[in-house]
Parts: sequence; C-alpha cells; structure tokens
Amino acid sequence: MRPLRPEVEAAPLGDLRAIEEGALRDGLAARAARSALYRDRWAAAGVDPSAVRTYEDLQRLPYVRGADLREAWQREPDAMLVDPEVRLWFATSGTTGAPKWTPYGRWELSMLEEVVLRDFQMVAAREAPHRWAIFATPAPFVSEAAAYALLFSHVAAGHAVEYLFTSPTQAEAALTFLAQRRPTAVLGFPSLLLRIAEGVEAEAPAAARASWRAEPSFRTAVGALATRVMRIRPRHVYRPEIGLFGGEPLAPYREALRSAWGLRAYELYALTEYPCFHVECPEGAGIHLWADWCIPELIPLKALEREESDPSAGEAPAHHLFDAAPGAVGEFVFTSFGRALPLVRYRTGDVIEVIAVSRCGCGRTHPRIRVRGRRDDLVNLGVIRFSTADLERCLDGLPGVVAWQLRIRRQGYKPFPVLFVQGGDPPVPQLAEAVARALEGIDILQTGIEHGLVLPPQIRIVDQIEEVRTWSGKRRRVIDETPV
Amino acid sequence: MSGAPFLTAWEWRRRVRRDPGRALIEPPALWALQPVPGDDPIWIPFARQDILDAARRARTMFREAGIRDGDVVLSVAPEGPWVGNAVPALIAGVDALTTGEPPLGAEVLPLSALTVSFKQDLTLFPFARSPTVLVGTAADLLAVAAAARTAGAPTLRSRLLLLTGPAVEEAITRDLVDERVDLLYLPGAFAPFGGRRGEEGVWLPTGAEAPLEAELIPDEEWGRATQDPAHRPWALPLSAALGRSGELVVSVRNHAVPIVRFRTQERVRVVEVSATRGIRVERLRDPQAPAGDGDALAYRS
Repeated sequence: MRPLRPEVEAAPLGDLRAIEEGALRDGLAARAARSALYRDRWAAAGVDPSAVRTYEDLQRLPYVRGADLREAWQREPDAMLVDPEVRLWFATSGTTGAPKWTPYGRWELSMLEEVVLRDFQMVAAREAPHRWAIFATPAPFVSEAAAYALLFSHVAAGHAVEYLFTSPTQAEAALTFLAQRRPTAVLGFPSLLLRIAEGVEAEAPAAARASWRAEPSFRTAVGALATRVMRIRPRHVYRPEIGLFGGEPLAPYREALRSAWGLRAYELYALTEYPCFHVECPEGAGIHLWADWCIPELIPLKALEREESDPSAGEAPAHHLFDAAPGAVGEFVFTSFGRALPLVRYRTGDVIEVIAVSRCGCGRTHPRIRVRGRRDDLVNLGVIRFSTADLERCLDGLPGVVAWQLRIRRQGYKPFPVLFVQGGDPPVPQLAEAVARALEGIDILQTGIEHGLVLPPQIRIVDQIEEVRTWSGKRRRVIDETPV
Repeated sequence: MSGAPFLTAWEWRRRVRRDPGRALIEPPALWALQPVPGDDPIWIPFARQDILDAARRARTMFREAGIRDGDVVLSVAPEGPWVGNAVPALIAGVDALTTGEPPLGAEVLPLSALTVSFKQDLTLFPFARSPTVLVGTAADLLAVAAAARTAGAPTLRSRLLLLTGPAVEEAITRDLVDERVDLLYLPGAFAPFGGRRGEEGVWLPTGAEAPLEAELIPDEEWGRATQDPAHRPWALPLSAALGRSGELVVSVRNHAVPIVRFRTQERVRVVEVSATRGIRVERLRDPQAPAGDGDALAYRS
C-alpha cells in the first residue's frame, strides 16, 4: 500500500539528514545532559553538550550501552529522567542481567502510535480493513503496549481495523473464537505462532468433534469428517493473509510460517529501549529503518573485532548509516530524539547488515537492513534466551570438562542446541549425563524444552573441540549456525 | 426496554459462537473477553465510538476514584484478551484519546502476575518507584507482592487501591494500602465503573446521556427463578431498588452491538440513589462462592 506519510517516508535522504541536524541544533545533547546517564560520562570525555550541534559534534560523544543504562537506573534513579512527564514504563526481559526499564512520555507514545500506523499501512495487503489477532507478551513488555498503541491510534484516526489481543497463555480461548471471526492478519513471535500451529494441528480432530456435538449441522459435520482424511493446519481454519513477526529473527521460521498459516510473513525489528517499530515492506528487500526519529549509525564489524582484541585502543568508531555501502555489517547504534530519556549513541548490541540506502521499490527512502544477530554473550534460541554466563556457571568446573562449545542448529524451524564437550584424560565416566544434569539448572532452557519451543540439547563428548575464532582471534564458545 | 426478555451469558455465547459477525451493528475495533461471575466468560465487541466514549468516562472515573496528577500507578493487569488487560494503557492513554480536557497526568508501571511468576525481579523497579496507587485484583496484587518479597523489593505501601475483581475481605488488602476504591467491569463496558474515595461500592451513571441502564432482580425473585425454571423473574429499575439486593441486570448502549437486559450474575445491593451522582451499588460476596482468593483467581478482570 502507498505510504501513510509520503512526505516523510519517501523523503530524500538529504531531508532526513536535515531532520537529524535540526534535532541536534535544537539542543538534543544539552537536553540529554540533564540525565545522570550522560552528565559525568560526557564531562569525563571533555565534551560540552551545548556545543553539540552537528553530526560531527555528536561523534565526539562516547557511546552508552544497555549495561550503563541498567547501572545508572540502579545508582541514581531520581536523576535519570530528562522530562519527568512519564506516562508508561516498559521492561526488557533481563536476559543478560536485571531487566532494563524504559520511560515513555507523551512524545514516545506518539512516535509509537505513528510508526505502527505506518507499518500497518506498509504491509496491509488490501483496501478492506484487516482483522488483526495479536499474540503479545503480557506486561511489562512492550509488545502488549504496541497493541494498544495500534488500537488507540487507529481509533483516534478513525480507521476501520479490528483487533483481538491475546497472550500465548490465553491462546486457546482466543483461537476458539478466531475460528469463527477469522483474522486476516496475525502478529507475534514467530516461534510462538509455530508452536501454536502445532497445538492447533494436534487439537483439531477433538475440537471438530466437540463442535459437531455442541451444534450438529452440515458445516460442523464436514469439519469433523475433514479431520479424519487430512491434517488440519491453521491455514485451513484461520486463513490469515499476512503476519508480522518480531522478537527474534524471522529467517529460520519464514517458510514454516507460510506452510502452517498460509500467510506472507513480514519481519519486525524493535527494541524496548526505543519503541520505534521497523518493518519489511512488500518488496521483501530488507527492513525499513525509520530514520526520521533517530540518528542511525553503524560500527563496522572489523572495527568491532579490533575493539574486542585490543580494548586499550579505545572504542570502535561508528559512521552514519546513510554512508554505509550495501552489504556493510556492524553493530547498530542510534541517537533517539526522545523526551523522557533520549538515548544518545546507544549501542544496541544488534549486528545488522545494510541492504541498501537507496530508494526502495515501494517508494520509501528509509534505509533497509537485515538483523544478523547479537554481539553480546547471549545464547539466543529465539524467544528463549539466556546468558553465556549461565552456561559457564553450569559447565566450568564440572569434573571432567576441559572445554565446551555450543552450536545452535535447527531441526526444521526449531532451535537445536548441540553442546560439544571436550573431556579430560583419564575420561570421567558418564560425563554426558553429568553435563545434561548441569544444564537442567538453566530454568529458562528447561521452560523452552517443556513448552516445545526448543529441542532438548544434544551433548557430544569429543576428544578435541574444533575451535572457531573471530577475525581478531577471540575464541567463540557459542556459534549460531542458523542460516541468515 | 423492560418488556424485552433477559439475556443470559449462555445465550450471548451461543449467538457469538454461531456467527460473531451477524450480531454486529457497527464494525468492531476490538473484541475482548468479559468475565461473568460463576460462569464462562463472554466475547464482547467494541466499536471505535465505544472506545472513545469509554475513554472519556474513564478519565472522570479515575479522577473521582482518587488518581491525582503525578500519581505513580502500579497496574497489575490480566493478560489479553481479558477486558481488564486494557487498564494500564487506558490510564496512560486517556489523555491522547480525549482532547480538550485537563490531563489525568498519571505515570503507569504495568505488570502481570504471569510474568512476575517467571521473573520475580521484574517487581524491583516498580516497587522502588514507590507507587502511590495500585490497580488490580486482590489475587494478582498479592501474587505480585509475594514475588517482590522473594526478589528483595522494598515493602510496598500505597495511598490508594483501585480494586477490580470480586469483593474481598478488607484484611486481604489492608497491608498494602491506606484506602480502597472499587472498580466494576460490566459487560459491554470497555472501561470499568468506579467508586469514589471514602465510599463503599461503585457509582453507575443515570440519565439520558448515561452509557447504561441498570435493573435489579431482587433476591427473592432470583430465588424463585432458581427453584422453578418455569418462573420468569422480573426486575426493578435500579433507581427504585434502594436498600434492596439482587442480581444486577444491565443494558449498555454500545455502537458495535447494544447489550439489552444482560443478567450479569453479579450480586449487588443498592446503597444510594442520587439525582446528580447516579446510583451507588455495593458488590456482595456470593454466599455460595468459596471464600478467600479462590474466586478472585478465577476472575480475571
């Protein structure tokens, strides 16, 4: 569909740069410096925030990371907000530490409302209103808030769209209803929607029989008979046309989603810390990164690896994402124009690939990216994530374990962790069983296995670990072999 | 309206199950699940105008219930699709949905009992911000308080509790708050109805502009109908039922689909009738219902 706001969505890059420069000239850094997150850090760097008025000035500011944000909230919570007019707070899941809470003021909520309207217009497959079934994670996570931002912005704008919000735990009640009120679009985590699809397939015969018993009719009889001769999949019952999927990379799930739900899948990229929802357009050539709400930068991969191998060399330099060549890979860094707590040069930890900064076939000009993974010590099994430190706690020091390496593979779309363990000499008997027991100490991994989101890890005792190193020579203990 | 037959939760569910679209008068913007005490929940559609009207009413209701400018609200909501899931977004969003009114100006920290049961440290930050107002069911709030204790959060003591869900013993919430105001969800209402500070029960608006009309099936009529299925009970207008108790019946002027003479299965007593303020009702505990938190847990609004 055509852009909701063509004057912004299809604006030349020069106009988008002008928006950024305008924000800096208007004192973005001076305003941000009111927060304890930046004050001392910038003073130590010898930067006068009131003198930051161009992109070149901005590059003199040091980065902030998630850990800085978390630590500052714990140390000086009362001195963090730039604008105390906060309306809502949201938390990250706290995979690599304590959850990070983010304040949303009226400005942030307005941004969220506008971008979700843009996104929905972008993927809408038809002129007639869509019926959205949204499978959101409950409070305090942002996906639920995004659902209400959508609802309220559509209500305020007078658009005809129909919603049903549910959480994965309440999916059964919602799905029974949705079998009658068929959604044309779904939104959620890809792995959860596929898990729900497995449940639908398993329950379909019993549900069809129950429906026939409750209300005997030709229609319900045909439904019950159909389950005897064919495998009922969500696409037979719900028939959504499109799906919007976020929270984890879509690539491993895209084909399985199409097959199970019969829909066209679009990838969504967002962070709790910055509630700007970026989405693929129907051209299928990358996620449009909305560049009128932030200043996007990229730290190239090689610079990251140099930074890792030689921390004394200082922080890796970033350059403006508009200047990146197609195919450039690196860490995404952004400066938001937020009011409650602007994030200035925030290192997301997300490794992205720049697909193009030229105008897209859909007419939009905002750069297109693909999310390649995470930089931090995260074992990312889709919706199930935990820190490498959790693995170290379980395995380091376990008698008989000399070294280990986790390779994340896939069986179908499901993450399949394969843990290679190098045993000592003499070998410890039943080492694999001991390692398996140790892994049971990672609660979130067990939850993922119990709920069918992750396959049970395979443990392989080997004589020698086949080491994988980064460009700079750092040993990698967790290797994601999921195809991008 | 009084000549129309009563509508039960069972009949509503049957109509919606057969074909939800056929029940509609205006296109819905949202479908939500509404709890019915002692019964299975029902799906209710809300049109765009229903949500806007509810937001306008909610702003006044939250103000009268005691939310002040600058309040920090810890709102423990059930998961979607329960209608109560909207409360945190509604408190934060009424200012954007209803223009030209003084802003509600509250800061909302949303939580759910489900997420804190998995990750108790999610309570640390909200508790450290010393919320002045709590919103939720007694069961959910107590579950969150227990998770917070385990996580080592500071002890919570707030000024005001906006209590959704069933009536509970005072003792259940006494440790958490100084003052309690009740909220009541009624079928067809996107926002709850609320009480006012210093008073028991909730106020239901009256008059031509009111979003609903309420009636009461007095206890004795309810009893006769329960014992004799052939008996057709009658209902009094709520304004004529001062001092009486019974089952609340509501008619809600929704745009998506009006709800006519719905038997809520909510037992109330009419405690005040005012020409200017509406009608105040108090929820009564069903004497046959289990005491304690059991019913509160099953009741998700």
